[in-house]
Amino acid sequence: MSAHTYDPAIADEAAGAVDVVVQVRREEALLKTGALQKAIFNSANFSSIATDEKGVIQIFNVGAERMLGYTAAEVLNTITPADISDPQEVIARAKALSVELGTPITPGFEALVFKASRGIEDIYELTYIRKDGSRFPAVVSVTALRDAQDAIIGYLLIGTDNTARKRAEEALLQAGALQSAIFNSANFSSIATDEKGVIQIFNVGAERMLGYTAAEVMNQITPADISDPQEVIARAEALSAELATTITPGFEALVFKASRGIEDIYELTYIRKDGSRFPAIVSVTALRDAQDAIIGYLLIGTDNTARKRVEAEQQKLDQRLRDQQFYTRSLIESNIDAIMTTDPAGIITDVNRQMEALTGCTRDELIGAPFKNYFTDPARAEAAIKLVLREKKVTNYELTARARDGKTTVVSYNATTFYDRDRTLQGVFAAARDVTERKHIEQMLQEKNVELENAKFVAEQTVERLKDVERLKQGFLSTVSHELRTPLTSIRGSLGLLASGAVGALSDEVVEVVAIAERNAVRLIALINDILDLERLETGKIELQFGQVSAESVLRRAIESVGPFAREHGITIEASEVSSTIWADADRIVQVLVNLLSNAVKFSPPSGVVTIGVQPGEGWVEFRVTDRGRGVPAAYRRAIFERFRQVETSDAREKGGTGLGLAICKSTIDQHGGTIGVESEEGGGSTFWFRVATTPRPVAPRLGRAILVCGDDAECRRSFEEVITQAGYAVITVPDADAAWAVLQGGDVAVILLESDSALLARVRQEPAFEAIPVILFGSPLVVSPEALSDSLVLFLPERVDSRELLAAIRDGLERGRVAAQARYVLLVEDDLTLLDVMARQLSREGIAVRTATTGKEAIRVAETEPPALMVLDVGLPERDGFDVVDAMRQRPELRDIPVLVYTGRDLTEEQRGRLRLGPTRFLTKSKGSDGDFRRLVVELRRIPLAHGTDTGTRS
Amino acid sequence: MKVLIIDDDADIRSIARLSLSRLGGMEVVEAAGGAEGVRKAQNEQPDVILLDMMMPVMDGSATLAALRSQPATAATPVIFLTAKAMRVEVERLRALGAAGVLIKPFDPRTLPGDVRALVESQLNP
Repeated sequence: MSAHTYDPAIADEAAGAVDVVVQVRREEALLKTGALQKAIFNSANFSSIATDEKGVIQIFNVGAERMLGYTAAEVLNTITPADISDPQEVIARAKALSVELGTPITPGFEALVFKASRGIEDIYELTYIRKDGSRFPAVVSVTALRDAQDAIIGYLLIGTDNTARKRAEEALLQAGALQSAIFNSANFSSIATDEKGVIQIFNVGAERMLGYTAAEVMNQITPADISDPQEVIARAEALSAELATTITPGFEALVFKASRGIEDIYELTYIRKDGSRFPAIVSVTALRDAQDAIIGYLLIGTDNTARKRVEAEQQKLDQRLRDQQFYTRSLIESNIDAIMTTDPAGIITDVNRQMEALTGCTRDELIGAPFKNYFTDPARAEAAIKLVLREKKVTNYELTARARDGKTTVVSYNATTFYDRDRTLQGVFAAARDVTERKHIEQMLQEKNVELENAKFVAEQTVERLKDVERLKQGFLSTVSHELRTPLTSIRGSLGLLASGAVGALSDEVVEVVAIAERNAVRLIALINDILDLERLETGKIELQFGQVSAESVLRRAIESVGPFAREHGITIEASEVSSTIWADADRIVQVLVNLLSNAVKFSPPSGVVTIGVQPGEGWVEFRVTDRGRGVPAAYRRAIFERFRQVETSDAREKGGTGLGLAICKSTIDQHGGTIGVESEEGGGSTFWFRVATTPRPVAPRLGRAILVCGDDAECRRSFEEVITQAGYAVITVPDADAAWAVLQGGDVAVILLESDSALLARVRQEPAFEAIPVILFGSPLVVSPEALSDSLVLFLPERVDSRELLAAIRDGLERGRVAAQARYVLLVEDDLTLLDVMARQLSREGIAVRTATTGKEAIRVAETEPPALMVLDVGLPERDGFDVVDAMRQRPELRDIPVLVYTGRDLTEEQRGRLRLGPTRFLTKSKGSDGDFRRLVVELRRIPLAHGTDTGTRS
Repeated sequence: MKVLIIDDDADIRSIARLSLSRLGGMEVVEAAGGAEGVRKAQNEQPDVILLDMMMPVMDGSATLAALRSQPATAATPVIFLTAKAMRVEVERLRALGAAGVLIKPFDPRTLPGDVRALVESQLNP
């Protein structure tokens, strides 16, 4: 006997003694059986529960203890196995058995052992209930225990825990269900093959995906035949490499792993019956028999096209996204401004290169750092962020950035807030622009502005002062004539009286001394007169009164005036016969002649002769005063016409004279549009000459200052003259049309008062030169043409006119004339600014309105804005030359006929001249010295009749 | 010939007086201003009045107007004395009805002759 403790019942059974040997053998057999049984019995995997014939548990082994949770002691002789089984199952079993065996079975232990009691092998499933109430499925095998008489003395229930297996079963069932579903699904191709790969099963899904019917492929081909051959080859190679064994490119490659039990899922391109392809994902499993030999393979595949497409799309999108991002990034990086994003708290979240440069920090250093740290005034920078968050936008906010090396940059900070898709605030997007340059320029501008302001102020001050000075001078001019002359009257007077002996006899010496004083007083007076004269001449205060003057008469008057003086010096004056007329202010010409004659007398040698010659020329008359005096050195010939210039400083004392005489002469002759000069040889005498015009030239219709009264009634003329003069106007009266015409040519007429002469009226209104002069018609009957009625520059006086009405009409006429004249101007086109300035000033002094252009383009523009009355045109111009200008003007009807004075340094060919003509065109070549040039220019100008103006309403 | 000089400048009056009396043999009466001048003109009945233009209070024009308004003095020839030598001014003065215009400073030697000549021409136009 073994030392093991075992169940006494069995031990007793075994201990039935008959024959020791038999007993031993039986014992041995039993022992063996017992060993097995013992093994089983002691196994924890089996629950062995032995019961008596009623079912009460007699033996409860370790396995049972473990499986059920009860100790043997708790159940022995206490319960039946039915008590630890699922009661429903017991009942169900009882019912089933009842039905099966046709005899009622009690639901209880009887149900569990009935079959066994009848000797029917009984193995069934049963749910045991553990001590803790938990359950588990068991498989129970029941045997009846019999005695020697074969009577049942008990039962043996051996059970195993079926949980795992049940689970496996369930899994299998599920798998089965799954497999079934898969198998029948069209989304999966299920291809089962034999061990060689020949297709045995080809499901609906496979048919659909591949286009073959099952019949077409079964037992004929392998899946390799419907796969991309290259891929198969590639797979074979890869597997060969991976597994270090040669794999045949073919079906073997598709299932090798599976055959080795290695899970295998891979991508494969299937080829449909129609030759088209699609990407598939294939899962391969080896099918084994009971002996685990491979009997075939199952390949389950899904169509990966959609997924691949999605993948491709995704890749494309990804690429596009990357491109987009790259693009966006490039934009941000390529921006010349420093760009940064910060979160709402002001922490930097992103920067571009320029920001790195601005701050001297790398991107990594910047991101995560507070934005304000990189500015000289962090509080201000922070305020900027706050401002953006509040206002959603900030522009032109100045900040000074500081780089790591200390370098500061003034920037203009411009920022906005930005949001994500859900409109949640993400942060601030900002650009900082380096405005150093701008600030520099601003500062310069500021300084310049200040300068300009100052300059302007200074200029204004200067102008004011100049005006004051002018005013003073004006006042001076008028006061000096009184203030200086008043005491001089007394001085001169007293001295004169003394010298004359009217207040008593004086000794000769006294008289001589007094005479000296008187002479000088007289000289002083003359000087004052001359100064005032010159001043008034030059500022145009003296109004020259032109008229047809007989040369003979001025000569006579001059000689008469100088006569006594000449006689005093013992000089003879000789004059030739003359019969010319000049267009001049007679008194002034006399003054000039007197001056020249006096000089001639003064500088003549004793008993000398002074000759006056008068030479007529074409349109002019030249007066020549010749003396045989000491002459004028070449160096002085021009200078002596300047103020106070006398050749010898001693001359003033010796010869007398104020030194202004020649200056006054020159000024007077200039005013006449004439020329003056001297021919002389040192020691050989001098001839002083001057030229004046014989007839008035057609001149730009200046706004003259005189009222021209033309009527044949002398009384009427006189009364008009009186009224007009009293009103302060200058007036010229003429008896007839011819005289009127002559006066008009003088260019000094502002308004014409015309006694009912329609012929003259028509002539005047049609003459381009006089177009701007208003005409006031008087007298009766007033014969007026329809044109005259609609002519805005023709006014009418009633039959009986009083002075008030007359003056009102004159004022009206003057105003209209002024307006009309303003419409006319001369366009000076010249790119030499100095020359242009000279021309403009000269013409303005003549009373001509002037506009200037320095380029061809500008000239065209000015002319197109308002047609000029005349154009002085240089040929060499920037931005379109003179030829272009003429071309452009030819296109416009209002410009194509304007008169032109081509004033150029070039020699022009005939063809070129032809290209420069518009209306009446003249050509003047610039020469080296410009003074004489300009004189000629003005002369030429005067020759050109001006174009019709653009007076509104005067011309139909 | 009796001459009335109306001029606010005493020196000029003296010069004129000396000139007209010593050199011209005329009788001279003086007045220092327009008002006085008109009074004296009425009282003295001169043959000619030398009238300064630029006088304070009552200038030449006003004085002339006053003279012309009195029947006693309305026809008395008046010669203007002026320091303004501009022709336009001279014309203007003439237009006012003066017998003549003399420009200062005048030559004391020729003054009497000029006055006489102007009076003559006024009386015999």
